[in-house]
Amino acid sequence: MVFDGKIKRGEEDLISSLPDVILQEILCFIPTKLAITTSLLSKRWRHVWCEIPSFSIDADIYKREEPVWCTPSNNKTLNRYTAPRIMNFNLNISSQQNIPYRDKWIEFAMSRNVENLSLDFSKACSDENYKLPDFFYISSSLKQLTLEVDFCDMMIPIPLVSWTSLMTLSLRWCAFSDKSMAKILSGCPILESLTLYSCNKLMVLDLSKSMRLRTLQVKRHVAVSGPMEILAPYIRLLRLESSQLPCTFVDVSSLREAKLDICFIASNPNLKADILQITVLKMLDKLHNVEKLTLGENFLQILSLAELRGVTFPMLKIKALTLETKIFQYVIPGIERLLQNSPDIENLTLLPMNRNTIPGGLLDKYLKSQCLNIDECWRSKDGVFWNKSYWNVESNHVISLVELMLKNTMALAKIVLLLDERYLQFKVKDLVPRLSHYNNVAIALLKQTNTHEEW
Amino acid sequence: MASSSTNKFVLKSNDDVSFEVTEAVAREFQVIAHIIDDDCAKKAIPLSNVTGEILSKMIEYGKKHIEEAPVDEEDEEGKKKLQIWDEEFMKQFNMEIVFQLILASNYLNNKGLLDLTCCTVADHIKDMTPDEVRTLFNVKNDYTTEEEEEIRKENSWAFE
Repeated sequence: MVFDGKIKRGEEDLISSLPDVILQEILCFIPTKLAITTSLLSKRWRHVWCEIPSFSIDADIYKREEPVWCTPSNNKTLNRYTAPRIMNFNLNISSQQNIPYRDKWIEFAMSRNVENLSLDFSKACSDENYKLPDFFYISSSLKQLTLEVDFCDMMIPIPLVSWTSLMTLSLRWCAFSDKSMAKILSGCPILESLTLYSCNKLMVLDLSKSMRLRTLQVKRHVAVSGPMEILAPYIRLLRLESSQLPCTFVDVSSLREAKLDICFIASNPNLKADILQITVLKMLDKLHNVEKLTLGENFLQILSLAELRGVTFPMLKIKALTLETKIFQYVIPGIERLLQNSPDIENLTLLPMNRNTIPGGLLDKYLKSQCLNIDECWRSKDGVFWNKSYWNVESNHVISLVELMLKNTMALAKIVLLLDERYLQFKVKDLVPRLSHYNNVAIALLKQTNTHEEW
Repeated sequence: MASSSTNKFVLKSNDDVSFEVTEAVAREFQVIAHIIDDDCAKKAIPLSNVTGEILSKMIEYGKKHIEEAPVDEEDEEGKKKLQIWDEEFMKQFNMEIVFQLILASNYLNNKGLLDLTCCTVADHIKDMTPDEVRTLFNVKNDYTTEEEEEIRKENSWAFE
């Protein structure tokens, strides 16, 4: 933001007259190192930083740092920090020189009863021998923890973990074994939300003792196998972006809301179509009590394969279905079957996402290998000529999709179509008159541009 | 209880400007929400620390955040839109107004606006040396050269 000299009004020092708590709020928005330099502004500012509620330490900018800062004999600066409790502490270490200091930082944060801790060591060269220090695993203040490390092995050196207040845990690239994970989970009695992002070493994720856990998010990158089995009887919400390796829901019986997709990258263009079909159908079969389901376009494409091969689909009780897909032929048979098998659907949403899509050519290749005629396979029963590429979607295709939705549902009350104009050969507003005569169902048409999702 | 879209309340600034707002907008400010909950909001609610000029801006912010609230946690589009509006909203103010907005949003307890205004100030400090910050905000350096040297030494790590 630019203030074009509008700042100076008279010669008053307005900022220094703000109360400490507000100045500390302001300092939380800048890197902590810089916040400390404000002690030089004037006497008024000397101790302001000493009670900032949030720390943000990005070691990348301290590459040439001398080891005076954190050595026990000379930690003057840290001793000046007087607040008894740190709300947020973000430590990002990305250069090797700073690796020796990371334990010191963690110790400092833990000693000040940190509530939200985020440690990102993923950009530092992985150091096989490094273990997180013992004291890291014991805290009664920690409520939220994000850990991003890619050490080869994540052994927990002590017999018990104790994070008695922890409610939200996010592990990214952490190579915890089943045994270590069990140790962590048994130390988090009130955990409500767990995110596992490419935690490759897990085999069986057993959450059967995490009775307070409601939300589970799992991302398995292309070649990530873990976890292979998910045993989570208490979760209500599951978000899974799966790899092509099998993943089984052993128990997700309390699940109410699920969001599922398959991760694909162009640099690894193999499609394990057989395994995937088995995996996704088994997953659907476990969603007995799910009322709100979101499926991504790769998931839908695999469902299409299963449908074209005549595989039986389970019946679903979902009331709200969101299809995170662009419109093209390869998702249509899957969508049609899903609708037919979900008689309770009331709300349908189409939401195009900007993700890596499995190329249709791979699906065709697979169908050919199954001795199926691909032209016949993809020919619509309703005489619609669906576009092969999502770049060729025309207004007729949107109308056809709406008709397909209406034809295959019984309780439908509302359709929301979010359309991304980057993929369209027409303007969204041109659809309005053509959709207005479907008066037994409410259709909302929205222009969607940004469809990035965060993990 | 009447729905919050029809219930109206009057907020009165310390320079006697009155604003009629819906309950939803009034509740954007936690302090006012508490007054409503305690059933003390029959007449106009006097806000002794806020001027009409500032209050009108705060209500504008509150209204926008009610009307354009993202549908849910995952409504990235909605969040983005609001964020762009926030940025534009802040551009109209000089620093003096920004400081007044900070104090008022702290007083009326609106976390969103407090964060937004604090962040605006932080953006100014971010890439500056202490000298530049002093010039920008008219902060008078009352340290002696010796004291200044001492502080630099104390926090030598930060001054590298």
